[in-house]
Amino acid sequence: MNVLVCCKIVPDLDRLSESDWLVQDHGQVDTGFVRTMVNPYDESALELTLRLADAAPARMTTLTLGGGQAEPFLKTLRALGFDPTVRIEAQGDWRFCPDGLAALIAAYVQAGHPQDLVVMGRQSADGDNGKTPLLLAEALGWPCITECIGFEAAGPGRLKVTSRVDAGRQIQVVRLPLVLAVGNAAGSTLRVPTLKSRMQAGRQRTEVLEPALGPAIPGFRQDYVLERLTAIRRRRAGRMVTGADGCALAQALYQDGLKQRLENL
Amino acid sequence: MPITREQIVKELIQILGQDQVITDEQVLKLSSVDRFRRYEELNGVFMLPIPAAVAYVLSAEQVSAVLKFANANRINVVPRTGHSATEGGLETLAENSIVLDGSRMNRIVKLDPCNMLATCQCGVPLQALEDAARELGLTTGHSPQSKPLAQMGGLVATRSIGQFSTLYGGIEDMVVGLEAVFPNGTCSRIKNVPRRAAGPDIRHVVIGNEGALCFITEVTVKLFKYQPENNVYLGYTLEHMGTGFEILREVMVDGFRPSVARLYDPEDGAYHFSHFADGKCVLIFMAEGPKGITEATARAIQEIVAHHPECRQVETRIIQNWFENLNWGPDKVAEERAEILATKNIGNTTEISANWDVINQIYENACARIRAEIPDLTLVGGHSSHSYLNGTNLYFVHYYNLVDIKPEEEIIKYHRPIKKIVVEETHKLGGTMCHHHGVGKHRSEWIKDEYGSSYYMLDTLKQAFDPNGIMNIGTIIPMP
Repeated sequence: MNVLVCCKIVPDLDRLSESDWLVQDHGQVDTGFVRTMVNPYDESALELTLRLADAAPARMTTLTLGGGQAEPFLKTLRALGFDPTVRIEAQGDWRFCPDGLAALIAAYVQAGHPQDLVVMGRQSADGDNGKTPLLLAEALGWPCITECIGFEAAGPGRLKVTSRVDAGRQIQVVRLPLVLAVGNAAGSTLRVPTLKSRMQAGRQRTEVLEPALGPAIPGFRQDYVLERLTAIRRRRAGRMVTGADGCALAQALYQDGLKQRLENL
Repeated sequence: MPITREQIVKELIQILGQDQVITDEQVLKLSSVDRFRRYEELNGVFMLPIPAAVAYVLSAEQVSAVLKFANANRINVVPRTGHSATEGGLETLAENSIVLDGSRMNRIVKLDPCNMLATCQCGVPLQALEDAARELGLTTGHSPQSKPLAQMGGLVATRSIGQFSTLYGGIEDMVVGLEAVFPNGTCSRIKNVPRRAAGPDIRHVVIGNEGALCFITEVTVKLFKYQPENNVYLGYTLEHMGTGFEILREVMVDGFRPSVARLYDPEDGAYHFSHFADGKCVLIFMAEGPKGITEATARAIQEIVAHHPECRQVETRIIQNWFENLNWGPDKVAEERAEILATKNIGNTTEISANWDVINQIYENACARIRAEIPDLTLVGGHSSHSYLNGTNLYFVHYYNLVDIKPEEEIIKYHRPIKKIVVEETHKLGGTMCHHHGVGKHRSEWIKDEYGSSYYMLDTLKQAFDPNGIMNIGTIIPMP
């Protein structure tokens, strides 16, 4: 099975304090000084793909869009068995261009890199569009399952996919090819390669490609303007619980706070 | 006839009252370990004797009463405050131990801006003391990574050190006076004076005792003026650790005291700095204090670094942002727990120190041996974070995948063998095996190698203050 996992390297926005959220002269919030990471939903996509490959043979490719800051992460992915690791060297701000991104990925798949399965996180931490997997599926003419939280091989050309739906979980056995948008998959932190596997993968290199669609990429635009930033204040009323001793305090907390919540669950 | 568990609990309730004596099974299990055995704890495995009770004390008098009772009945007592220890110092190795917890003694007694002193009970969280000091435009200058969790008694007992130590010193430089209770119930107070030469400095009997000699009930530490507006951050990438150590040495020998002076190797650096320093060492400085001093310190560092052409300066904001996200609060601890369970990958640290002429060799020797002898490694590296006139520390960082083991085998297959290598390589070249985490239980087997002929002094202290051997058995000095 050929599996393509698309991942994005994003700034770790949790490391920004409120005072760092400033619109700079170039009309952007500067996050260039912040540590980067694999987009968390993409990280789940990578780990779930590794679990698929643990159980059934799969050729795993990873694809990212961006500059050299992705290299340390791609090294790690090579050490975990992703081969090839592909980086499309596309300039500009792609955060809000899901249609352009989908077009680039579709062009990669259709230009001699056939896949049975394309997996990615449902949205990125900085763009937050939530559209790329669906637009990609449309471009490829494939079905797409969203809010995926697990998948495993189910015989030749078939995949058993678990996804989260309003009422609970849905398990489907589907025919490939397919696009999966990975949602909140608990316990899917990316595994860690050993030093030995890093050394063994040390000679491999990232395949760096120019965008297959040339400079005029459909849906790519940079004319949006950041007008203002508004902090979202999330405050809840609180009060001090009083009591004569530990038992009284626990009772007060239970009666006044927890009991109603537990009954509502 | 040895006293029973039930009798211990009954007597503790008699002394302290029902509310201060906890016998809940889960609490007792969690109280038998500290972060050293966190993989076992995460998996609900508790291999050590479960204590008889956790006894919360509210005063030095209560501590005295409990210790007198324990001493008379040969009951092991493990002093505790913040429960953030990392080396097994809080493990209960004896049957039916009492965990004596001072975290409810959490009053800041006095902040004295005239004399620049802060007095607080042992259970005051350092973060709380620091926040109170900052309201007065002051700081304790003490900032270990555990600041959001650690409490003053434990910080003094472990001889802790913080991120700004190169300027402010370790806890031993900050403690002015203290109060401690000894196993025979004697409560001793050392008064707060700037300096004295009235015999040996007995504060150092208490500072670093790790609960093996006494229970610390109150501490007075220095306060410093808080001047963050003058902070200057400097960062550099470079190729070689040897160059980095040499730069640190020059900064210290030339007389400059940045509050932060850190050197990361590429492996440890990759975890923190891959966004700008992939495959490189990283040097970080922060100058702190009055404006003239911070400017002069920063200028001097830049001049020293300029003599080493392999160094490339890094944007200041990158360093500042990294630094602001360094400390470990409950959120990061919780995140770490989830990651360990999900990835079956865990990391630990071993901190040592040595003189300048051997530190790089210790680093290279230890890393080479760890890589050669320990399986399933995912990261071996280290950084220096506390420098002195005559040397520096080294914080070995080692992560590994947990392969085909039961939870209780983690320390046998990986952690203790790594510590053994680091201790051996450090001792071979005359360094110390413990820079600031304390000996705990898991480096005590090498304590005689550590002390050499001066072990006589350590042993005599233990015999003098704890002749019945009730204080935290197995800590610093191994169990007989």
